[in-house]
Amino acid sequence: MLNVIKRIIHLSGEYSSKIKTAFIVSIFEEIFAIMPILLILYVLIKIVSGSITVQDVWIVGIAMILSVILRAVSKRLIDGLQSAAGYEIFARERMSMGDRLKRFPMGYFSEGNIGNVTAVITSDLVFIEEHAMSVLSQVFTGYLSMAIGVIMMTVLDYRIGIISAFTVVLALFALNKLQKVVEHHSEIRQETHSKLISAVLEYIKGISVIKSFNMVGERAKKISQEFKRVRDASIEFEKRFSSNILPFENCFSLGIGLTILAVSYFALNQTLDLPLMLMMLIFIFEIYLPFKALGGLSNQIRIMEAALNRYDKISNVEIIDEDGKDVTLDHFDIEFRDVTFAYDQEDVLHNVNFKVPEHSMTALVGRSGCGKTTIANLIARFWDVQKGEVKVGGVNVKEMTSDSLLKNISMVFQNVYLFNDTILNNVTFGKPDATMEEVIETCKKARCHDFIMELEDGYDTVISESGASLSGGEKQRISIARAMLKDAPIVILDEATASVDPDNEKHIQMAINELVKDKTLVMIAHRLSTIQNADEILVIDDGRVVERGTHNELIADKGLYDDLWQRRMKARSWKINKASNGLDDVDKSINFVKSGIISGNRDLPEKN
Amino acid sequence: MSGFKNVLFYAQEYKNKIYLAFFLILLSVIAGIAPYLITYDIIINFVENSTVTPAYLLVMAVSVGFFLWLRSFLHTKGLEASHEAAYDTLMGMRIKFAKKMTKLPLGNISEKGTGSYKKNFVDDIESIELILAHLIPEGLPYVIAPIIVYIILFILDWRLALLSIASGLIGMVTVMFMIKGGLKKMDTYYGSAQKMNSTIVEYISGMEVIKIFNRTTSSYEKYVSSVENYKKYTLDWFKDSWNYMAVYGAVLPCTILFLLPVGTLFYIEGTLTLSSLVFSLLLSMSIGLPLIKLVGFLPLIPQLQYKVEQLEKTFEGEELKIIDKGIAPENYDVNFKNVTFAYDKKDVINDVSFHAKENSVTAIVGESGSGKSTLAKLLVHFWDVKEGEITIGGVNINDMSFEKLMDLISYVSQDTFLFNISIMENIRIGKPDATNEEVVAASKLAQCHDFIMDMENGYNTNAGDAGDKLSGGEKQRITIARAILKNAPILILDEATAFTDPENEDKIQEALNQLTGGKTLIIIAHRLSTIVESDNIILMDEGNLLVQGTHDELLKKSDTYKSLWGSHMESLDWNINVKGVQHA
Repeated sequence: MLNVIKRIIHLSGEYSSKIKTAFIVSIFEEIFAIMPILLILYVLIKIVSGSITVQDVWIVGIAMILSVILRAVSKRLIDGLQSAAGYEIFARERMSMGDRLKRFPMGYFSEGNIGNVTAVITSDLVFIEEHAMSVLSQVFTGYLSMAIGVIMMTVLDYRIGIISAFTVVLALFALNKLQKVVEHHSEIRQETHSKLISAVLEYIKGISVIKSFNMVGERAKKISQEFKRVRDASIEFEKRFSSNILPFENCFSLGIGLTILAVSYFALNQTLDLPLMLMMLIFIFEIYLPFKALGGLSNQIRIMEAALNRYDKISNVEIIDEDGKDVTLDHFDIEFRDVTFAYDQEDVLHNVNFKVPEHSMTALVGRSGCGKTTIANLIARFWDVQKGEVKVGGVNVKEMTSDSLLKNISMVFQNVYLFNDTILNNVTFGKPDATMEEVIETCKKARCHDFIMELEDGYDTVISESGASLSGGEKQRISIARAMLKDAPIVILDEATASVDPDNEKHIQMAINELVKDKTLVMIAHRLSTIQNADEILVIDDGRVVERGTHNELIADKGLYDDLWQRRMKARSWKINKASNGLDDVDKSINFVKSGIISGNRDLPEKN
Repeated sequence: MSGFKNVLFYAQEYKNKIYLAFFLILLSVIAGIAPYLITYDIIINFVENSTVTPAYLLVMAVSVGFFLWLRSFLHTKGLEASHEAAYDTLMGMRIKFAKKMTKLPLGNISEKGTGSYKKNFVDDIESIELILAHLIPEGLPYVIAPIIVYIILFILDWRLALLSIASGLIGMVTVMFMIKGGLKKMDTYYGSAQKMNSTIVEYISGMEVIKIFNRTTSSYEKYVSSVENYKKYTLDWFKDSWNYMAVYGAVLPCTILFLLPVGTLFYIEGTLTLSSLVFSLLLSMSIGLPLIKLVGFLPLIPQLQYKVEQLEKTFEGEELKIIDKGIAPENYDVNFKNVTFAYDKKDVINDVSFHAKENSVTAIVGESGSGKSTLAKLLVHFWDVKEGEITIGGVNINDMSFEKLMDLISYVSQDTFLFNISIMENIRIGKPDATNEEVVAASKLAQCHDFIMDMENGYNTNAGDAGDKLSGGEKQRITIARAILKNAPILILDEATAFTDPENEDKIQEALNQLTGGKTLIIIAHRLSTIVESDNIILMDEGNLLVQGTHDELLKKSDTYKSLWGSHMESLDWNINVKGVQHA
């Protein structure tokens, strides 16, 4: 418990003084909170001694109101200091995290991880923000009121003080045990929870398969079983929790019973004054309440610690360009020298060497998973290589800041990401100070001006969340316009694999031709037919460059490239088959277009 | 409380546990008051007659300890029971919604997205637990305890009861003011929180673009301002609340604010005994904590109702209109007759009619967004049509059960979902009674036998575990094997499936070829060269059927088709060139 306090204070940084001040005010608040008890004692002493007057009533009344007012003021002060600091702290954390995120290795933002990071910064951080300060003050008041209670009892009568101290020590042990149980079981619970998530995801994602293959009954039964398992595990956890919270609470029952016995016994044998005894009988029911509340808090603290752990894990990711310098390049060739690279343990690139001269086109080709995309990512330094070096314009990319490297590179991805903003702002993303004329000229080149003008608000049209109002091909062209406006000397192009309709495809191709004019182009090619003019084609297999050369050279070599090319040609001339009888006939079903009228011959390499 | 009844309706086995919980908690509250009564007895004995013996004190002290233990014991048992009821209710909700989901139009489900349903099933339902399991066992005693205390005080001396209630009232009125004032600012607060979250999501998702375009500052500005705004509105709202919170936080626990001075006055006047005064102080002090806690629980009741209503709304969507009339289709001809379909009140498909004959190929072409995939989805009854009808062999698809419809149709889409079971079982889904040999035969036809055998456990490999290792194209081929095994007479094929894995396109095409012979084949085509030999080509444009006919007919009679064909031919010959010289 104190560990959490430490972590929160550590997190609060420069605001920790405010929190500490709030702690001091809390001490006063606690004192004002027991004022009424002391006033009871005052009244009782006066009554028992028979000297009570109406004047005492006035004194008590005014003191009582004063104590309430002072307590309210302290509470307001504490909130103003501590709760306010809480929101300041988390606003600051969000900003510094935002700042750090852009300096993480790009590879960090893999598809799975994006969801993860987003969840931590939105849900986890919000949970911590909402609970941190209240947990902090509850834990602090819990311990503080316990200490004040014990001290006060000791001052009034040391024997009762000893009983209180004994109770508290016993309770501390029980609390410790309780926390260990919670910790252990929350792991099990987390596991159950993630199993639930994957079962639910499987059910939702598979719902169309479930329905179309008539598996409703069977799958509904399966997921019901999973739900039942989650229920039983959760109930089990609660039982464990409550069976351990009972001993903790028993400590106080015991302590209160003992105190009542002692107090009244001491009063009986005249070693304790009657007013003191009466006051203690009242006070003993109050004294442990804030401390007892900590038992119920242990679950919340556990969740918060887990959230803090996840947050820390992100905070501790190393930023990539810590030692980079601002470098202005004057030429833009690319070189890989003995590059070996692994995402985790297994090397995905082995000793890759190649050079891309300025204003040339290099294509990366190979089976899916061969490492061609990795090579492109290394040029932009989305990851750092383990061995060898990647040089752009003769400078090792590790020696540059990300900004000064990426200034020179445009990338066009397969998955287009557009911001929830106007088309204009999306296009000018690469060059915020572009004039409207520039934008229009670029959009014309990127073949998107026409469809933009057809939209009701033209360039001011806001692209909705997932860009749903535009077709895939249109989004693709906007992303090309964006890259074109940036006008970087190096272009890395990942050829889109997704299919768009023919009209769109033609426009995209024209747009790309404009984009790559006079650039140093590195292209990840999936379809081969587009790269026959490449100055060099690198054929990658299993993380190695296995062949290199121009299209014609590689075809002549009759190696892997030729094989891929033949398969590609076969795929291109595919026509849907209607003659075969499915399962019965395998050979007949592979149907090629034999005549050259339609498409076949036009594809053949010798045409170029 | 009506919210409670609605929720408990979902509970299954442990429905009665909630009453048990209620009963146990009630007993625990009563047990919790006993120690005060015992203490009162000690006080009376001390103050009024002096016949106190150590034995009496021992009995009394042990009883206090016992009742305190009993209170805790009953409370934890009650908590257990309420958790059983709560988790049982969550399970019931999940089961019910999972069943409900199979009846919703699939179209609506895919529209809403997996993430949204996952949130409903896991997070939203889970959040009800907190309220459900704690509101009763913890909220209830916080209501009952003060009531019992006030009743006892009334019995003891009505003036004391009023004095005690007075300070509680001041606190409660402050709470009301706070809630009323907060409602106004709550909307701005929630608005800014939502905005901040979506900005963060966008910032992280768009990180690749942000980095590449060096626009770290400007998008960061948007991020910063949303964070700042959120902080501002939160503090704005909370600063008001703090004033109220300070007042009730100080007043509510001080239940003896009026009782002590005025009670003392009564004592001086001689209208109140010392033991009654001490006892009333004791009792009043005991409800300070419950009152404060009660304030924390108050907003949970409407929250529970709101959350359950939201969930119900999500799963309540319109169910498909299906009345199984048990008529067998005469043949496997598919007929669209004046079909109109609207999504969100906007017509997406407008009066489309065509006929796809048994053993023929019908291709649907058109730009993206023209409605070609929607036509396919209407045939598999993802949605109900708005007007017109779709028939198979003369039977309206609304008149056959979804199961029967699905026996007739295989739909091979780009969705390559595999279950977290072995590859063997994943393929067998197509025909549950298929032998292992049949599964292997289908896999061979679907071009997936080889890569399956390359895996360590072959067909027994768990598809979920292997998920990362399988390429999109490999997954696609497994789904094709499934469809081959199913061997349904009508086949809907999204040609784009072939592009899932461009490096292995030829393999997928070979696999598809195994599927298509001798069926009613409807193909959604992107690459026109694939479908030039189709018996009928349907050209869609903005939801309208523009023209239909064979390839040659359309080339002659439709300029749109001609230009599409032209674009396609050009794009096939595209070459990239950095030197700026175009090859045509």
